[in-house]
Amino acid sequence: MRPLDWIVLFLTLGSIVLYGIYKGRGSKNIKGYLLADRQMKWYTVALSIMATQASAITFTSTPGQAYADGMRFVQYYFGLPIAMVILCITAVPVFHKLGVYTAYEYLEHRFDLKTRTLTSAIFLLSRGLGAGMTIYAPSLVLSVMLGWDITVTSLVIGGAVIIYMTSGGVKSVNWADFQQLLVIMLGMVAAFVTTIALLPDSMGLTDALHVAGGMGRLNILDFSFDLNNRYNFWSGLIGGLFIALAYFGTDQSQVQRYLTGQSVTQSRIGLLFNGMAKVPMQFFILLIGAMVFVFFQFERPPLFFNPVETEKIKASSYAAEYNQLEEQYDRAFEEKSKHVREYLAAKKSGMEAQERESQEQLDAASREAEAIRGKAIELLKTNDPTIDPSDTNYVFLSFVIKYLPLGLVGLVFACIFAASMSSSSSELSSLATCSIIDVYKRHFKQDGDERHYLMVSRILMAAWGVYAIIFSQYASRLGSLIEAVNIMGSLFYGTLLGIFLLAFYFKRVGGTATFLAAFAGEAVVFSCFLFTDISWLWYNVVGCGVVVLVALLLNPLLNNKSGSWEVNHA
Amino acid sequence: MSISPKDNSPLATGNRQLETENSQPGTQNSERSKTWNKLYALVLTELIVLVVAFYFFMKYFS
Repeated sequence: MRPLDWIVLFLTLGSIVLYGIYKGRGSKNIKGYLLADRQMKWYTVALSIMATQASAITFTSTPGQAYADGMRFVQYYFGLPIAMVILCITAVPVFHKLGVYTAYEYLEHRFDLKTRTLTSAIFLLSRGLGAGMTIYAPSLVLSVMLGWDITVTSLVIGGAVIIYMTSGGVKSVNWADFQQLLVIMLGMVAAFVTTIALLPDSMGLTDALHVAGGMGRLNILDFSFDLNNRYNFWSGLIGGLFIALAYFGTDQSQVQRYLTGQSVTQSRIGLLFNGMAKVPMQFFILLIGAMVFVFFQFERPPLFFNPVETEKIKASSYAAEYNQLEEQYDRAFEEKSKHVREYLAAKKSGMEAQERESQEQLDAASREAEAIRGKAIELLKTNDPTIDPSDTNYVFLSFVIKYLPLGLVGLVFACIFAASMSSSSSELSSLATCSIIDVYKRHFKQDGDERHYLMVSRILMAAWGVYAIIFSQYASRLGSLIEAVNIMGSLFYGTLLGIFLLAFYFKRVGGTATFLAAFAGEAVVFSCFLFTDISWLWYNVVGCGVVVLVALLLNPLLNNKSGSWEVNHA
Repeated sequence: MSISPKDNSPLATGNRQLETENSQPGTQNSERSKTWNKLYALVLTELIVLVVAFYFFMKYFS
C-alpha cells in the first residue's frame, strides 16, 4: 500500500470511531446505553442489521468463493426475506411492546427462569466463543496482506470497537454500523467498476459475463435436492429460512438491533429493508468475484494466493520443485488464455459447433491448470502440514493490492476493517447486554440503581472487548477446533428457534417440557454433527423440529402449566 | 393463565396493549394490517422475481 492508501484507510477508520462516539453521547441510563433509548429510525435499524451480519470474511471470502466455485452461494440467502416477514409478524411486536432488553428475558415470563437462563447461557457460550473468531479471522487475512503482526491487526479492530462501544453503548454501535455499511458499499461498487475497467480493451461487461458463464462461474441456481449439498435452491430456501429465523429472531446480536427501533413500524421496515436488499447485495459481491475470475483469465494469477505460504515454500528445500510447477502453470495459463479468446470469438460468431469445440478445449485447458495448482497445494502441505490448503480468503485482497489504483486500495481495506468492526461491536455489545440483564441483574443484584447498572454495563462492554482480543491471540493455537467454533452457532440455533416457536405459537406448552425438549434437540443435533454427513444448514431444521415435537409429547405427561403470559400477535 | 390486573410492570403493560390492539375490530386496525400485508407481499414478490431473473441470467450467459 502507498501513502495515500494509508491516509484513506486511517481517515475512514478514524471518522467511523469519532462519528460513533459523537452519535452515542448522552446516555444517562441503561435504556439509553443498551437500547439507544428506542429512538432509532428504520434506516439506522436496517443498515445496522445488515452491517452486523456482514462480517469482514463476507467481503474477503465471498468474492474468493465466486472465483473458486461460482455464484451458487447466493442461494443460501433465499430463505432470508421469508424469515424477515415471519419475524415482522411475530417477534417484532411482541418484543417491542413487552419492552424487553433481551430476547431471553421474554422467555422467563412465558415459561420460567430456568428456560431463560438456559437460552441466555447458550447464547453467551456460542457467541462468546465466536466473538474471538470475529476478530481473529479478518486479523489473520489482513495481517498476511498488510505484513502486520496479527496482534497489531487485532488491536486495531478490537481497540477501535472498545473505544466507541464503551463510550456510547448501543447507540454508538448502531450509528457506527450505519456508517460502516455505507463505506463498505461504496468500496464494493468502486471495486466492481474498476475490475470491469481493468479487463482487456476489447472486452465489455457482456463479454466478461459470457466468459464467466462459459467457465461455470454463473452457477447461481441448482434445483437438485441433496441433503449433503450445502448450496442448492432447497437448502437455501428451507435451511436458509430456519437459520435466518434463528439468527434474526433468537440471537441477541440481531434482536438488539431492532429493539432499538423507535416503534414497531420502524423496526419492521428496518427488517423488511434487509429482506429486500440482502439477496441483491450478496449477488453483487459474488459478481465481483466472478469478474475477478474473468480478469485472471487474461492476467496470470499466482499459483497460490496466500503470499506468506508462497514465500515460505520458496525459502524451503522444495523451492526448485515449486518453481518448476510455476513454469508449468505459466504455460498452462497461456494456453488457457488463448482458448478463452477463441471461446469468446466463437460465442460472438454464433456458430454453435465452433462454440462447443472451443468450450471443450477451454475446459481441458482449465483442468490442466487446476491439476498443476493441485500439485502445488500438495507440495505446500508436504512442506508445512499445518497449512490451510484453501486460499479463497486471499484471492480478492491479492487482486486489490496488486491491481487497484491509488487510494482505492486503502478504501477497500477500510471496508474490510469496517466490516470486521461492525460485526464485532454488535456481537460484543449484545454479549454485554445479555450478561448484565440476564445474569447480573437477574441473578446477582436486582436492587441496583441506574447509575450502578450503567457503570457495570460499561465495564462489561470493555471486558468483552478485551476478552475477544485476547481470545483472538490464542485462536490460531486451537487448530482444528476453529472449525468447530465456526459452526457452533448452527449447533445451537435450531434449539433456540424451537424454544421461541413454542413460546409464540404453542400456548399450552410449559417451561419444564420446553426445557427438557431443548436437551433432546441438542442431543439430536450433536448426533447429526458427529455421525452423519448432513450439511450444517439442515441442523437448524432438525433441532427446531425435535424441540417442538418432544415438548408437545412431554407436556401432557408433565401436566405443565403454561407461563403467566399468553402472547397475542399484532 | 392471564396477567394479574394489578401488575404494572412494563412487560404486563405491553402484553395488555397487545391484547387490546388485537381485540379492536376498528377500521384503523384493519387498514394498517392491509398496508403491512402489501409490504410483506412486496418482499416475497421481489424474491420470486429475483429467482426468475437469476434463472434467465444464468441461462443466457452460460
